[in-house]
Amino acid sequence: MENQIVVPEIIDNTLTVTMYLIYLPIALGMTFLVARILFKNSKIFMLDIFHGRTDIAFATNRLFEIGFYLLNIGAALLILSTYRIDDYQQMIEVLSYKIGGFSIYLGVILFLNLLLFFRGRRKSNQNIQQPVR
Amino acid sequence: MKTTYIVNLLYLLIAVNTTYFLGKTLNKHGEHFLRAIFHERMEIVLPVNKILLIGFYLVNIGLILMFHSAQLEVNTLRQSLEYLSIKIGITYLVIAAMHFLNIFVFILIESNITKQTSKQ
Repeated sequence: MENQIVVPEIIDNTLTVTMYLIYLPIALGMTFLVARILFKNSKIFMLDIFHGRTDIAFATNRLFEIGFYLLNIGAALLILSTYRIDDYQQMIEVLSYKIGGFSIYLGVILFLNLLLFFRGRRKSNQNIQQPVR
Repeated sequence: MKTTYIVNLLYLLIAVNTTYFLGKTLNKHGEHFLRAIFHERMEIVLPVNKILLIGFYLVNIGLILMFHSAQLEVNTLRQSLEYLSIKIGITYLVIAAMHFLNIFVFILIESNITKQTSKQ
């Protein structure tokens, strides 16, 4: 009997902790998946931006990838905490709300990144045309 | 009280390790930029790279230590998870902001140098 009381007191709220432990791998896995796909396909943009200089293009790509990871994992951890959860229905509702919000956030960041690449490409094309004129 | 110590120690461990590996990768990939900026003169590139790395470590570890001080007491697993995640999240966001600033400064300097050399 005593054991049953002590263990929940250390954990505080088992369902909330369970929700955290489900949410964290999903959010981190989504971040890794999106980052891998985005930065595998952004190499071609980087090569265009830096006019085919491979070393700088790939270095920039890798640096952006690391920044992307930091930003998104930081955001995923920041929106983790929630209120007390008492039953499974609440847990699933909170979980789906959080994962949906994080998914929308990831989508917005993805499109912002794409916009950044397009803008960089246009700017570098302008730069190379100026000395010719 | 003991839980607070453990959580703060964990935070310190994760944050300092992240800073260390981030600095190493930045150092490795930033060298390409420095080589372009200093026209492949390795006797300048290597010291500048090292100085930038040390500056990066100093600023980040200083930030982490300043942020490290415990503001509230943590007693349960749930509280410690929330506390740890918010602290690491804010730290990661600050480091990410600095990282992007760094990249944009590098790109700006590099593009200015290439423009100057192409004009000459």
